[in-house]
Amino acid sequence: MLNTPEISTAVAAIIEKSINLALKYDPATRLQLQALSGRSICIECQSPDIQLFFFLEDTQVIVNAHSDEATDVKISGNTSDFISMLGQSTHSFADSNITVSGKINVLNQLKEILSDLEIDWEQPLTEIIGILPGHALAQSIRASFNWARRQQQEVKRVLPEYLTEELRLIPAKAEINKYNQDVDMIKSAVQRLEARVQRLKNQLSTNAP
Amino acid sequence: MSENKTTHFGYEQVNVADKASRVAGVFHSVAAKYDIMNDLMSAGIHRVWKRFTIELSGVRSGDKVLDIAGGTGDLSAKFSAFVGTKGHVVLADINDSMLNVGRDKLTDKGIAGNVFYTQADAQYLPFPDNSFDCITIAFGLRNVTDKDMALRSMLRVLKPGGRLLVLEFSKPANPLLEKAYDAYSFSLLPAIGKIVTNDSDSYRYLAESIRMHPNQETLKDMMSDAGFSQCKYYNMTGGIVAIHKGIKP
Repeated sequence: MLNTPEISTAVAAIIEKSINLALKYDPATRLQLQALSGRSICIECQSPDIQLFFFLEDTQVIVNAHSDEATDVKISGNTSDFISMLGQSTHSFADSNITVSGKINVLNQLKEILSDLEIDWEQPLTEIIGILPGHALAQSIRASFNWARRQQQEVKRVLPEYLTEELRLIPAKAEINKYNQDVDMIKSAVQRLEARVQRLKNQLSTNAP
Repeated sequence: MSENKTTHFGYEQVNVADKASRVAGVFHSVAAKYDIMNDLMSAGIHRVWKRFTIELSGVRSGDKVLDIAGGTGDLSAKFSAFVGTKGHVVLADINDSMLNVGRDKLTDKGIAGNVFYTQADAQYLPFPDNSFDCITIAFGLRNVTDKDMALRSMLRVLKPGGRLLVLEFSKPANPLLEKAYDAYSFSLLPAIGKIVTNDSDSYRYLAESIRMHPNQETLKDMMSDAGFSQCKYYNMTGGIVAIHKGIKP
């Protein structure tokens, strides 16, 4: 379905507009992108099949659904893999079914630039609803984001402790380490025993009449 | 005694010498409301058709682009952003009313500096040989009197390796769709034209001229005959519209 030129072109147009709108409100990232001007990335999704070509041109990103040009980097995988990777905080291709080919350094540079993306929501809000209400709403949004981020960090810190100490559902880190050390010791002892048995076997076979 | 050669103007046969002025009359009449009518007639899909044309063009920073029959400048506006300050776009149209609307629209949007405007006939392009990296003609070729001559003229001004993209109405692939499309374009289209521009004849001409325009395969052969290589076409919206692409060898 997404193979029809109308739909894939419309999807590309929406993505292009969203990216460039985000860049409009983050001038620092937009300027940093100039370093990658002339570079291109192809993202090939399967089920549903869609190809998107990202061309970095000066301070804008051009997104096409069709291109005859070879790109610097090609990223391929199932759409579901891309979506699950977006949900991860690390955005790593390791342990995913996504394959990357071409100039990986371009992708690393882009990842580094986008990690600093900080959109100034206040500007578009003030443009739409005016300076005072825009400022007030932007402050509320910022406060909400900060609260959510603090809560996320707090949950990350408290949850392991609660599961180990209070519910005792999972062992503590120290217990796991001790267990691992014991397993390593047994493994070494078994290997030593195996070597000793082998040596004895060799001696018996050489002393045999 | 000179022979009176005729050509088609919609379903009507007219003298070759008269066609350009008859077409000019149509576009003088609709120029002011051209963009509104495009949105109404196509339910906005013409924007996607044009965007797909731009995608196929592969135009990049520094390129020189000729937008023939550029009219109200939809393609030129996009190309202007792509070619940047190192390249330029020439918006050409035979009709001064359309050219004025396009120039005013682009200037009002702040698109200037790398866009130039030329009143030009596609059959006799007033540019040196090998001047452009890409030429587009969107919904213009069917109005040209001698299409073969226009294609040869475009080939001449393209650089070797340059691309020609022809976006034009074509023949629907599905007979059912064709019937529905006929009913729409011969009944509803002139009625919309009457309401919006107070001119139903121009939109009747539009419907008739589409039927008289070469179908996908014929136009592809015409491009090959003119000297283009790697000619191919992409159907859109079931073949109602097709984009033909050719490369100058």
